[in-house]
Amino acid sequence: MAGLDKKSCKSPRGNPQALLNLCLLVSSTLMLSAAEGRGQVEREESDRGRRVYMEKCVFCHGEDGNGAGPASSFLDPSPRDFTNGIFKIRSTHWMSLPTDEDLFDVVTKGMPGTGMPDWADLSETDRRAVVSYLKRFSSRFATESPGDPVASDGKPAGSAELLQRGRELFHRSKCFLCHGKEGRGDGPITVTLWQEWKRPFRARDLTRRDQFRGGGEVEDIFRTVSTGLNGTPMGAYDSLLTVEERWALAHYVRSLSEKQIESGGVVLRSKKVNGDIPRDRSAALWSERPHMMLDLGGQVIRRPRLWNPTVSRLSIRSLYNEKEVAFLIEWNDPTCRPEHDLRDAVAIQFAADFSGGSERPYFLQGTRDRPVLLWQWRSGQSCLPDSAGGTVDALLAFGIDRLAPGEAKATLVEGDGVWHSGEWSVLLIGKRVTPGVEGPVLFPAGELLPVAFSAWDGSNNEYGPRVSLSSWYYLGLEVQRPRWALLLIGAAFLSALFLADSAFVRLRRK
Amino acid sequence: MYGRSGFSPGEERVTRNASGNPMRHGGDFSPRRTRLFAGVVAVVLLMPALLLLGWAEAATPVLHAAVAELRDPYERHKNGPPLTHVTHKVRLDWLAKWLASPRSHDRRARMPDLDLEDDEIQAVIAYLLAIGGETPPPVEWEPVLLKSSDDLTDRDWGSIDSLYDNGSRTWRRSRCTICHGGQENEGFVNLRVGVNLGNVQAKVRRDWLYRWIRNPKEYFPNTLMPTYRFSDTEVRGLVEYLLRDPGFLLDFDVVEQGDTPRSDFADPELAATGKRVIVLSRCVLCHDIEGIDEILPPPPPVQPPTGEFARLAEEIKCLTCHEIAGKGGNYAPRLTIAGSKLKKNWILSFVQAPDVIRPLLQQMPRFNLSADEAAVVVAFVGEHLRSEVVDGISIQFDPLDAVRIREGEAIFRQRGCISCHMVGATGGGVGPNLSRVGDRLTPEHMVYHLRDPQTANAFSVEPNYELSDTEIRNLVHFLARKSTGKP
Repeated sequence: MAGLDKKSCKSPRGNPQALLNLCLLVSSTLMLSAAEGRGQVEREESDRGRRVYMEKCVFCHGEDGNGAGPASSFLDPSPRDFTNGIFKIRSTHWMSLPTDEDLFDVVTKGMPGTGMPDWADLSETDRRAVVSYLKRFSSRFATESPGDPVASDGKPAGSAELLQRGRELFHRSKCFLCHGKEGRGDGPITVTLWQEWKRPFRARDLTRRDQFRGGGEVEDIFRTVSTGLNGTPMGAYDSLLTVEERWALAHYVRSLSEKQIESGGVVLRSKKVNGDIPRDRSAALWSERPHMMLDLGGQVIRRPRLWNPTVSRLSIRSLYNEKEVAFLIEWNDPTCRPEHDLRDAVAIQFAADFSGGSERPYFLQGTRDRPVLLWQWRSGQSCLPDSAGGTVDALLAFGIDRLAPGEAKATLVEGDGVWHSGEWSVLLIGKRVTPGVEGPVLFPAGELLPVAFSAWDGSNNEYGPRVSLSSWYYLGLEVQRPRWALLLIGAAFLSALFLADSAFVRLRRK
Repeated sequence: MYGRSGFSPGEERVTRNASGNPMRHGGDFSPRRTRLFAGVVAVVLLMPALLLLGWAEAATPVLHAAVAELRDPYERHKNGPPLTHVTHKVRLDWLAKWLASPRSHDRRARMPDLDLEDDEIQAVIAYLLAIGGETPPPVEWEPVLLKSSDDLTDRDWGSIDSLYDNGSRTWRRSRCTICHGGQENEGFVNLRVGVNLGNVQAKVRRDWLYRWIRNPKEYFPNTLMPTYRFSDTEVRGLVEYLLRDPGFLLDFDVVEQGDTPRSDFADPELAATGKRVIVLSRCVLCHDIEGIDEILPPPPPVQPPTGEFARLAEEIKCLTCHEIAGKGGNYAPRLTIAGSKLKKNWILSFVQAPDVIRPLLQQMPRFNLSADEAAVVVAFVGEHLRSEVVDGISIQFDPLDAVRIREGEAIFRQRGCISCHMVGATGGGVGPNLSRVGDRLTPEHMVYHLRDPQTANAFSVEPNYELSDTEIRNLVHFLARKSTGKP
């Protein structure tokens, strides 16, 4: 509509001056309405943005954009307060505003580990409109501009040397002070800020790149390291490290998540060993076992509830022999020190009657009629990193608050736990036969036995019902099928085919 | 209410069954009774709304501006002291050891171990020296005081004895042990306030210690330590006491003479490396350091207080130990309703010369307040720290009513109060000494306390004897019998 000029006016018969006036009038009207149209487009966009915001965003971010919407008191972390113009995920320099594209990306992709969902099901127009709308909440957008993005070219391919360089840089740049020597968020500055001074800053557990707010790919990590996270102790390193150094660091940080492999299954396979089960965690039998990763959630059914648990993932491996079954459980916990005598703990839960099948006890530690058996390990009174300790109990639970000392058969269990650099490693070994007691073998092999897990972090005020737990999974003690069984099955299948074929031929003849 | 058939009030409410006989419906309601019933229901439904309105009014007391502007000393943006002039404060060899491992110096140190290499530590010290600037003008000392302990002769000792004794007495009056402990002892306030003074001789410089004790806020504006109104002699006495008393030695190691800066500390490259180490180690999260950019956004600016009492509280740091209206520490009694609780004259003399009320550990320090400052305290407390509930209690107190006093004494003996409280020469030490409690507490507050001790004082272990009002009145007369009755 813009760009109309006098030349496109057709020339009527008659007075040229009147013609000129007419063309001027028409073109100026059209240009005005074009300008008004642009203004109208903006108004439409802001109306649309406002509409989208009021339909989708206001409940968390609030009518005034200050992060105090009606749902905000239920959220941890809290929703962003837009009024101060401080945004974490940006491609621009430290303490700068984000670009529109940065905001659009967060709206589209969401923020893992928070209540901010991805809004990819909204149309792109809607998303862009709401980005324009939310910029109004802070006066910074009116007075400042975001500035140039930080340079991010030249991403190198990963290699062993690059990872080694990244590891050295992780140490020399002091990343470990907040993130911990092995990246589990247990660094001394994090522990001090959080426990001594009660500041709300916890450095990310770098072994969980699925929880990185800005994304867990190498490019995302590079961006975060370069631009920092405004409003948090994570500063920007673009003036402290070269581009090449930051790429090496990004590759290294991404590699820290390698252990957290999704296993996706519901069956914890326990492998049979000949001879004794190794008590040494570094034995080959243990290191060869694949980790089964299990996600835990806070218990929110019975009071007191746990809305923001520390432990959200366990890794489990299992071995067994005729006499014993063993579980090696590992999880990330930034501190091992008990707080107000609340200890770190983990528990494995079985159906007390060891029946397999689909009728399982209530997953929240059973009921009066169908109890569960708990093998619980608790840390000791004080924490000594890298030294094994703790106590193990076998308990019968008739519900979340009804525990009794285990009189059940499977009460002979022992174990210990070691804390190292932000990770607990607990080995629990229980007897499958109780000496001197007649009866069937517990943990029958070849069957699917219900099993569930729960964990507590004492320094997060977790105790009793305030627990992080999983639903029922299955434990399967693997049985080796003999080779000839496969041949038999193959032979049976072939003969069945032959029989079917000859029967079919006979039928056709008829 | 209208029954199954849906009758409205006033209608004929008789239905007939198949045989034509009238049937009774449950609940006979005549029109008048229906309206009455409806009226009652309406009032019942409205009552919560009315109560809520009244409740809302009572439940949100508006804090007077004079109380609202009091600042909680524990709410600090940065909890560590500023490091810009730290090289004027501490000896360099101590600083190197501290940076290598804070916990090896003080078990309770709240600074984390930063895993610094030796060369990084030296670089950091070089930077801190560079920003430290000129040392302030030196303090004048008697020459004998500047000799090291090993070199002092008996005559020298004699000449500094009176100064040392003065310091020892000042230390005791000022109750420094409440926060600082001494040697291996922990301080008591919130268990974490107050630096461990063990081996302080190896740590701080004499001149700095003098300036600190005289006015702590000059070095560390947000310190929790009060600014006592010490005389110059008292300050010098304390310095001598701290630097010479063997009670402040954590171990018997010889103090190293490592305080001279190394020659390469002046190297600007070393200082630049040190700056980089400080930036990477995020020291600025807890410490203000010149030349290091902030990481966290600055907090909203806070106006300095305007009221006289608020300004005095900033100096004396009352809220380090006491709580007023939800702000402050919980070591000492809450002062939120102290105006209704305590008598003015008592407050006036107590803040200037505190005596023992409760067991020894909790005695208030002597801050050497002037009479004017004490008057400011009394005025503020009397006007703003009041309780409507306590003020509203009426007790016709008559210090000469012998009957009530006798009855009160009987109650006191019967209930065994003497097992926890002292009256006269005998009694227990769990609760305060009640010999002259009438001079300290108002009769109204004594009633308030006796009605429910835990409401009056959350930390109280006193049982609630559920005394009747008459018994309470008599008991108060007994306890306050020696008071002059003046407010």
